Amino acid sequence: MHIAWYEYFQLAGLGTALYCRKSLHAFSLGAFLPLLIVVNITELTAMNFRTFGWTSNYLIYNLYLLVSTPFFFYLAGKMLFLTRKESVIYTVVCILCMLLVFINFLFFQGSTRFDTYSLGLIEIMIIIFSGLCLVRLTLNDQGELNFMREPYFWINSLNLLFGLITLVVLGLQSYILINHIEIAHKSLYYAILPAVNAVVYAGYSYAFILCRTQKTR
Amino acid sequence: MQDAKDQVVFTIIAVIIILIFLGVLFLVMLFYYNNKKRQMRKEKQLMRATFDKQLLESKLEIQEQTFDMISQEIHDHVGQILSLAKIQLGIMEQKQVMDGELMGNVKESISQAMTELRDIAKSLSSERLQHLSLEESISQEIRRINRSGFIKVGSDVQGTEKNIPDQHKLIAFRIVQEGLQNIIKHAGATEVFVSIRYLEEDMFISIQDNGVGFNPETELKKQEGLGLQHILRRAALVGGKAEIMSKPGEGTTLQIQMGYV
Repeated sequence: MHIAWYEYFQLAGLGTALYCRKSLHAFSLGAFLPLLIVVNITELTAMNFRTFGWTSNYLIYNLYLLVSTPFFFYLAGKMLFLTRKESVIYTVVCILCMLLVFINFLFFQGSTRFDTYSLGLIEIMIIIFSGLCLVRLTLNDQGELNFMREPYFWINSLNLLFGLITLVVLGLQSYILINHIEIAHKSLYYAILPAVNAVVYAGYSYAFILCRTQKTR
Repeated sequence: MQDAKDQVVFTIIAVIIILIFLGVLFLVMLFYYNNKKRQMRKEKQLMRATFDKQLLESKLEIQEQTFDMISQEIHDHVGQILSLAKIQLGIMEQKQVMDGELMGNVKESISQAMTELRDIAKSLSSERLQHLSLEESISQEIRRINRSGFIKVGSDVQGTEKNIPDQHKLIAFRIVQEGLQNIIKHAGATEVFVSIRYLEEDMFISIQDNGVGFNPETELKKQEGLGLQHILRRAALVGGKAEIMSKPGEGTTLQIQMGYV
């Protein structure tokens, strides 16, 4: 079984989440645990798809989009501290997004191609929600808030930056691979994404540790 | 073909860099805003702590001065009157006769001492001061001083008293009280005039005497000038201003300006 270097960061993220699981629940971030399990299973399976006799790993990533998105939306909803009315609007928006992702998977781009439309939509939503979370965090009036020690700040900042990068790189994924767009003799796709993944999951791990060091919100 | 690919790579990387830059810029702005907010909150807390400390110091000063005042009043007035009553009773004891006139004098002395004590109690009670208007409190103090006969105090009020916060009222009254005590103790004045003017935004209180006067600048620098410094500081504490105008031989005017909020 082959494990790419950035997958160690994802595994470390899962390990840290397991270690800090109680604190994650205290911070309403408990959904990270199943999300990271899904991420790790997806990445390990996708990396070793040939072992299973498959010709491509697009189906795995498409399924990942379907399974992981509700977790992302749930987590963003928790971090947004929504009021009752906002919560209703948020749920409707999320359901509509999920519906579009399903429709794209079932009727448009399908399972044999990478669902770039779905990914684009999800990344745009993640960027918007992360931005909103950060603005809410900044404008909230509760006591002292040191961003460097605030898990929500780290998670949302990383999601925001990750969303901006992946929106371009994964949005153009097919184009980059078909046209052999390379940088330093390496596909642009493989040159950028592993590094970004490593940074994001290392950041998540740090945020989980911050949850543990701060007892309650 | 290679050039076209290079251009695409360049464009993609440029877009990514710009997006990252915008993302980071957004984060930096939030960070900066949050830091500013925290800094402002800290400054506000510090200002509040300083204000509370000054207020506490001022209360302690007022308390100390009040104790001095009680001691002095009891010694100079009540003590004297009761001593006189004691002497009168001693004379009656020596004579071993029930002298009606002397007995009447003793009664009068005791009743005078009681009135003095009641006046002192009234002028000291903060609770009572809060229930009275500033004008009433000052008038009572003036009546008390006039009754002692040391000095003649006149007063004048212009305008109607506005809704003054208790803290401001108490501090304004204590300043006037201290000003009058200073005049009795140090000015050698025979006449004092207290004027209160209520304007739309502020109130002005002035205390003018015909005493010996002094050089305020020199006195404020001296250690003994602490009483004057307290007056200025207390007025500033509630956002007001106190000014002492005096010249040797020309009497003194203490002017206090204070807002209603």
